[in-house]
Amino acid sequence: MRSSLLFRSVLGVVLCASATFARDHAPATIRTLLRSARPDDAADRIYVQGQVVTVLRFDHPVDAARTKMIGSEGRFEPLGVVGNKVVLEPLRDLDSDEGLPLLVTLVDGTELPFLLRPATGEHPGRVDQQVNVFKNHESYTALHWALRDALKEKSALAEENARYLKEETSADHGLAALLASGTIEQTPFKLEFRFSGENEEAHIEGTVFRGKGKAAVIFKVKNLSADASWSMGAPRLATMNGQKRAVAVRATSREIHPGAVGTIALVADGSAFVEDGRSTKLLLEIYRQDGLQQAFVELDPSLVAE
Amino acid sequence: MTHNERVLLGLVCVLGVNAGCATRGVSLRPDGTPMAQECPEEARKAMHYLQLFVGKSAWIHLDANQILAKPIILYDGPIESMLSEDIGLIEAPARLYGQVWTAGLQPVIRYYAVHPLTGGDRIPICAVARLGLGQLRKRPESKPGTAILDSPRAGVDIVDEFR
Repeated sequence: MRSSLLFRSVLGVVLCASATFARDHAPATIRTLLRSARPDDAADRIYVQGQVVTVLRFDHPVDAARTKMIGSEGRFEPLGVVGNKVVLEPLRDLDSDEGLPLLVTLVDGTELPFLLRPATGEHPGRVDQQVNVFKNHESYTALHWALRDALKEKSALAEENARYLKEETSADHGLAALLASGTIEQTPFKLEFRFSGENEEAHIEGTVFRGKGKAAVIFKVKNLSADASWSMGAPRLATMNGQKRAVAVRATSREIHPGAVGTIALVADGSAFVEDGRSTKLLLEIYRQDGLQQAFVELDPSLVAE
Repeated sequence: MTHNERVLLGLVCVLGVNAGCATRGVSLRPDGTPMAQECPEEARKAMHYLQLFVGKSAWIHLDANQILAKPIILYDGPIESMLSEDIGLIEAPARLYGQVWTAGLQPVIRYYAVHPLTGGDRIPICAVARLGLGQLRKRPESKPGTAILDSPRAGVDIVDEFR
């Protein structure tokens, strides 16, 4: 059987390209912050990235003279204050344990403290591009933005819920769950071959199985990072011509903590191996949450031959 | 053949017998790779009791002395590997004792015994080390008698005969 697999560590060039891809396409985020007057609430965090502009938009004019960032020299472009907006631009990324305090004072004298944090670690890949800050949470605009956020969240949850309902009754997902939990004997899958590889952040062991008209792959991922959790993005199964195919995925946990090992099982139905009436090879790719490709393996149609 | 060479050959033979029945009776092809070898009746019986059927497989550390090293160097001769998953009734991290032949494109690793760490003696079995996608291929800089491998890990597959 002809199969090929490449890991990022082998393809350094592609790794960089992919990393750039992930950063360039980080979702543009507009957030709404409703300032609370409670004293036990910590300063709101704003997530920034080097050479990406973040705008804070207030519901009152800002006093430029009394708005300042502490210790920002050489790390940020000078603070821009225009009417009710504050514009920030870091010259380079902040370190994962760095945080810079920002104090914004409104013309009416209200002081609003913020903490500028890098868009990594606790908050990976989510750079704040615009943050709407409302001092008065009962104003029409504040409620409008809050409603907009709630509706967005609702539609994301509805989509997730519909997916779960569909997956609940899917045989492939059931098989993937059995494989992920390690009870391979309960499934019709038989081992075909193993492969292994690693990059700087993860060690991955792959096992390819053949089943009755189905193929399966188990990835055992060991997170080698000292501080960041590893979580998987949507995997991609496609023909060599790029036609996407459905793949059932189950993992032992949503996140793999530093130093921990997690198992991800993927099951593809035999029908996925057919393109224009002919059997075809498939490429299975695994991505990390931030869009960085971790491993790929070619699946031969002989895996699903009865 | 000089006298010294004859003594050396004699020593190798004695060592071979001492290592136990393990590698008994393997003949080599002209290129130095081992030919087919039967699995002894005793090992088959033990494997049956331990539910080590053909098709059972597990991840292993190829060399117990080079865990997580990269690359690893294997030498012709005996090897001690380590189970990293349970297989049949044998629990990880049991030790696997076997023999390496480094001639050829990739090393041949045959296991003749497993030693559970729960006490007791080593148990005769028949198994081989395997890894797909050509990941067990020797690195080109491997010197004769050695095999430099990229992967410190592989799978162990139970067999009923070495082929």
